[in-house]
Amino acid sequence: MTCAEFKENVAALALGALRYEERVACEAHLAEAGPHEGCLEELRKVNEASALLGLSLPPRAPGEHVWAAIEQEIGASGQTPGEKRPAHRTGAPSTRPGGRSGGDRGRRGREGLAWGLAAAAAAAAIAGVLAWRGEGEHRADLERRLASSENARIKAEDHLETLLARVRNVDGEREVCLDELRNARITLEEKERTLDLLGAPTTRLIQLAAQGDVPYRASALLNGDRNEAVLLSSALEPKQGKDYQLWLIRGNEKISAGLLEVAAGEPTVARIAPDLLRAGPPDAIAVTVEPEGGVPQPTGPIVLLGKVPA
Amino acid sequence: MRRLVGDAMASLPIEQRRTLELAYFEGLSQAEIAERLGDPLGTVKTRVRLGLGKLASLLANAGAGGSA
Repeated sequence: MTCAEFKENVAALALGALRYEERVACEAHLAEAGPHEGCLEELRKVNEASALLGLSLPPRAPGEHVWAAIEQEIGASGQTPGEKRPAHRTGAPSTRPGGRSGGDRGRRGREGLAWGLAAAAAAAAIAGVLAWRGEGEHRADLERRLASSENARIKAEDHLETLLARVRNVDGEREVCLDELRNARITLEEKERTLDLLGAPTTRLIQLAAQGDVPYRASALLNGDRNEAVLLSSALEPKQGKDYQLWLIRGNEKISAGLLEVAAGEPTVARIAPDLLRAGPPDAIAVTVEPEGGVPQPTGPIVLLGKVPA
Repeated sequence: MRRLVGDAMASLPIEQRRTLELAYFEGLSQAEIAERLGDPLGTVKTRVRLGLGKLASLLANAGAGGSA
């Protein structure tokens, strides 16, 4: 199977709508060393959508018949072997000897009858034990499946809560970014570029928190695939003889990403040079207050700081 | 989240939505869906691929489809 053929089937794979041999072929393709043309990414994408499909139905409690069927299944497997299969334990010994001993009243016959009874009883006992063991395993299997399904449900609910919180947060963040972008005094072209970056699915929003007693906030839009990053900040108060300087922090290294152009009462937008991002995303982004014209290494107080999640 | 997914599903063409529902909720294979709907297997495969692909894009754009 080629990567293109895999991608043709990946949606059906995520939905469990492939025939067995098709599924096996897809799984074998995934297990191949590659190189793959985004097969895993494609699978991840449709898997996430597929996992959420259940939410398209209104919530509904399981009907009585569902619980009844579950209880019946558990209850039936909890019975003793004799209750479930009486013929194995009690039926055979009581009926078969009589039939066999029909016209035989002699010693040999009685011995034969005794051996027959013993053999039948032993066979019944073994059958009973096997049946009990099988049902015990069945019951244990059912309980394992129930526990596993409960765990899966809890995990799915946790996952949904996390997603929901993230959507709320991201939506709020994007709204703030849009406001700042709208009010920033930058060229229309720069606004369009930044809007495009904001709307890109692979762009991450990094929040920068105010450090100390300053009323500032900022977000960085970071897109590693495009080597693009923009800082959007609330209005920073201009300071006489001082500049706000932007820093990318990688380990112990602090790399200057330039000075921020600050105007009273207006949001600040600063594009980070792509060259500074080629080494990968920074560990953190910071803004400090420095002597006018900036400094090679930070010396002043940090006013904004945001950690970039790995 | 529930509304988000519901809206995304509602925005799909009816044939794609029905195909996804049969696969997901009724556990039918593509071949079984084709038989049930009386449509060619190739058509069903296309609907599954386009339908779930669109759903994934819609949810990702809405911020729900990123990897956790």
